[in-house]
Amino acid sequence: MPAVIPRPFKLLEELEEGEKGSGDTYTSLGLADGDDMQMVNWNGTILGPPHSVHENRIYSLRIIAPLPNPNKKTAQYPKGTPGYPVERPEVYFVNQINLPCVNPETGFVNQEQLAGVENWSQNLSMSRILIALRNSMGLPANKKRPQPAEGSTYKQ
Amino acid sequence: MASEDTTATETEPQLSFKVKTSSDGNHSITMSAAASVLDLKNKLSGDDYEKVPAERQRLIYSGRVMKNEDPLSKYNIKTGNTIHMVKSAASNPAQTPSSGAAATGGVPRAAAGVPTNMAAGTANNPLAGLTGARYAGHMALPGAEMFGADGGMGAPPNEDQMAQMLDDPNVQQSLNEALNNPAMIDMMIQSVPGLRDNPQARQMLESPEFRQMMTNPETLRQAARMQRVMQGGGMGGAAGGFPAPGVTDTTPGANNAGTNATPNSQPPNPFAMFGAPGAGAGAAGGNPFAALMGGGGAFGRTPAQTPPAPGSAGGQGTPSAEGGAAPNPFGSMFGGGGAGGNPFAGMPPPTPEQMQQALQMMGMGGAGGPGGNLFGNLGGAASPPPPADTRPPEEQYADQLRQLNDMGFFDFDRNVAALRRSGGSVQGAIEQLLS
Repeated sequence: MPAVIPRPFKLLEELEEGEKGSGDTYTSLGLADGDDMQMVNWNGTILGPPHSVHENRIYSLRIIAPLPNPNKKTAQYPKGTPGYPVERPEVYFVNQINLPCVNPETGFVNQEQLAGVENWSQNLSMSRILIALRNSMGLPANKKRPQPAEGSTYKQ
Repeated sequence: MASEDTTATETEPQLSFKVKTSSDGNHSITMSAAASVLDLKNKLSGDDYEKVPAERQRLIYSGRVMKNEDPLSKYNIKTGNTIHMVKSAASNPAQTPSSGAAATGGVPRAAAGVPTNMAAGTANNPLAGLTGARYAGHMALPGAEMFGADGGMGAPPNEDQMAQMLDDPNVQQSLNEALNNPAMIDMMIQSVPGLRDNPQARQMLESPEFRQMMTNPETLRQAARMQRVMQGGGMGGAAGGFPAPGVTDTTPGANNAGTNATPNSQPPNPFAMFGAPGAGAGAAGGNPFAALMGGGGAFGRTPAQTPPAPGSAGGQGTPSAEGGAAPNPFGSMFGGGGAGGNPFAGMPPPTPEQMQQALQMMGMGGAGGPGGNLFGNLGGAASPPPPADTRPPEEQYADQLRQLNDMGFFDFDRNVAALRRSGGSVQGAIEQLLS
């Protein structure tokens, strides 16, 4: 098993990339609350790819980078969950969208159905998920899907 | 605003940050932390910055869309950080998908959002307009099925497909519009000496009968039948006497006239009717239809590879006869391509190299001069070659490379090689990279 990148290091790196805008131009990422020292709740935006129904739409997402939780024991982690980045972040669309990998009721992104991040590894990142989502929007199979009205949001 | 009044008396904390735009603009801005997002937008709308009206700007910082009424301080912008600016669509109404439904089945219309650089290098070629947004709605480009999986061009459309295309009222309209355009007529006449000296040329080209012939699918079918009959004789003979220097390419697309004469070895290329520069081999000069369907003389060599074939096959050394690589208005129409969904997506403006390929593939190379033949003349409507695309690949394929990177293909050299082979199609390149 490769050495685990400590959660704060990884998240600070991702935060800096998001705030400086050094990463991808069409997606954006940042902390939901700048004072949140645990860095659990994040915001993301995706600018819809051109030549698709998503063109000129901006999708907001919320992302949860889970903390290690020794009390939450699962079949995979009998000693408690290890948290990000060993575990995937949870990603939810705030704005309604019609995509195969997105739960139409909750906006939850099923990353196992999302090309590019199906297999999570700590070398991936939250912004890679956003980029994968944007690519998915622009796929020929998805770019013409009828979409909910712009601005409509999921119930939280 | 009340908050401004209270803060104005104290020393206002200043924020220094960058604003990055979707069009690669980058501005450093210092503003009071108490200023609202709308103030920032108003500042950005100024002449010094983006000249985009505030209501069309959308600002994103750190995963959040910034609201007009919020003060900048709300967003915890740290010194040196970057706000993204996106221009919204106010002046660029979204294409309604249903608008394309009128196009006849199987023929995808040109993709919306045609890149503006598509007509690059086709200056003073009125046909360049065919690739422009003006025709985007009703100019149906040929179907994807006529091209190979890699976005390259396979066999040219057969006459049925062509006729089908001509049956489409939208295409008819486009053609008529092109022929109604005096600039188009001028170009055809000017590019062919035989017509230049003929005072009646314009009248001929503008006559309704001529137009009828050009746009009637039935005429086209007849012509194709006639061509098949005649290919063995006149055309074959003409090309037989023609050495086609430097022919090393034995791909079907590069057939010389000899092999092309084999019935059905390659579907006759109806586009040659419009396109073949200097179409019409010498032996066929007397026959309007052979010249009309001049696809037989596939002499698709670039000038660099081929001596200009002096006196070849009845050639008159006219500009249009100088090698099949003389860029063809329709060739550039296909080479330029639309974006998104279209097999030509993202193709850069055609380089001579690509033109040559395209011409070979489509059998457009014309051997010999137009012979003063009306249809040959029409075919001879060549324009001066567009400047070669000498931009480095990372620039030429910037968009595509970014997409490939996003998808996890990081090997620059392989990506470029794959994009080259696929003519700039990301999809084709991926297939290549995965194979």
